[in-house]
Amino acid sequence: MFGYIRPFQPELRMKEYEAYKSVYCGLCKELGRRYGIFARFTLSYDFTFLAILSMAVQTNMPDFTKIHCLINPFKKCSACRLDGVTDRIAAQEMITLYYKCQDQLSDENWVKNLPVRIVLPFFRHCWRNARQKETAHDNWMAEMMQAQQLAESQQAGPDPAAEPTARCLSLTCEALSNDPVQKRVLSRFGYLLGRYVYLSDALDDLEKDEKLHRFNPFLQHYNVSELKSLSYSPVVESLNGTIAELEKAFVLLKLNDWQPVLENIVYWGLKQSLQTILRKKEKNA
Amino acid sequence: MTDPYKVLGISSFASDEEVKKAYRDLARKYHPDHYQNDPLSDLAEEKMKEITAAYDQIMDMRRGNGTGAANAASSGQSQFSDIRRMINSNRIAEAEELLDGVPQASRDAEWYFLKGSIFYTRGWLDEAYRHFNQAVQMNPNNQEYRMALQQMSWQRAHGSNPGSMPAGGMYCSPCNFCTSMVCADCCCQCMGGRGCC
Repeated sequence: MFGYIRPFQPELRMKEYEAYKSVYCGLCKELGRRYGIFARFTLSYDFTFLAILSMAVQTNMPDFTKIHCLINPFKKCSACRLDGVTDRIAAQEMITLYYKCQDQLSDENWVKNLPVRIVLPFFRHCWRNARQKETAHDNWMAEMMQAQQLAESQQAGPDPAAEPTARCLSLTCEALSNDPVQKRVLSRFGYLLGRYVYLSDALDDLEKDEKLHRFNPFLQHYNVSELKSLSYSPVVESLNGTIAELEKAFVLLKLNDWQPVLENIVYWGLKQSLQTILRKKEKNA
Repeated sequence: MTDPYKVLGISSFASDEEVKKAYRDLARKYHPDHYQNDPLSDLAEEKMKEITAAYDQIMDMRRGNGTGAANAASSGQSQFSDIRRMINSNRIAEAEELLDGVPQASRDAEWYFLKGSIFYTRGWLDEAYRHFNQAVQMNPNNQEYRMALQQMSWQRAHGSNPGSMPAGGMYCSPCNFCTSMVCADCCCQCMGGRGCC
């Protein structure tokens, strides 16, 4: 469910690319500092986006420092950090990861789960630490998991099945600002972003879910070969509609200097991710 | 074509009174009397024309719908106008409860439109699209339903809103610059022209 909210690099200007990378590096450093070296490898694009969005609705600007990269220690890279943003997003990432692992354990069989079972104690340890910092986020995640299970047991269609994820991100985004008007817009924006992530993941997993007889909201009315013959149009239209609505909420946000980076992700990145999923399907066929 | 509701800065669920009030407030703001001898008076005049046109358009649309529907079921219509007001003031849960209480037999195009609007507000875009579609099928002459459906169809096809894409980009669509150049080139060839292309 990770990695769908990413920038479209060819459309990024150099300074935007550097700024994006510095937030990524800043988060990576923060994860390492608070949750240990292994936590660094769990960082995803989605949380980098969330960190940038969070910085974009603040009035104070972040600090940029030069650090040594763990992967390439001879190279220095710039890391961007903002108190109250970087630490919070890092905690949210660890909480989300833990729940994601839990979810995976309930999904697949024992043998396939082995790698997850091995890393779970580590994630649980991180989760316990992170939870103290971000109690509200932990509660939302727990509620989301429950609501998700319920929706799946009811064999829900795309709208109700996407609701738990969408709601969770809606609450997460809403909490990024204290301004009541911004909060309203962020809530809608977050909802649609969560919907986008959930539906993208559902599209990505179509074949796997059918093979393993797992729940997928798009397989309630169609099977995979039907969807393929329709060029996945019911799914693509649903995702396109979500992206378009998301843009409408996005233009109402009052953003600071981070706006161009976010624009790149919202206007280009999301559609690019959809194309990537579709291309992958074409290749596999 | 611009959305007349957007011009007046109100939602499409606004009551007639709210439309009138929005129009009056804006008209007062941009009234020519305020702009006498002002170097920007032409801009204000333009804005005034835009507002008046939007107001007229909304009122025409509403008069067109209102009469037909009122004849069909007067009691049902009044119930729906209450629900409209509720949706407008963001009382979604109440509005939905009332809508769901309407028996299947008296669910007309307006019902499907309002139900679709609730789904839309909530972010359930697939259900919203389905309901708007049904509303248009049941009453193809209603401009409001058609506009709602058109907007969603555009979004579902393009993943964006009309005129919202930022300039630049590498995507090629049939109507973009490259294709236009190719078309222009073909035309020139047909006409036997050599100089321009």
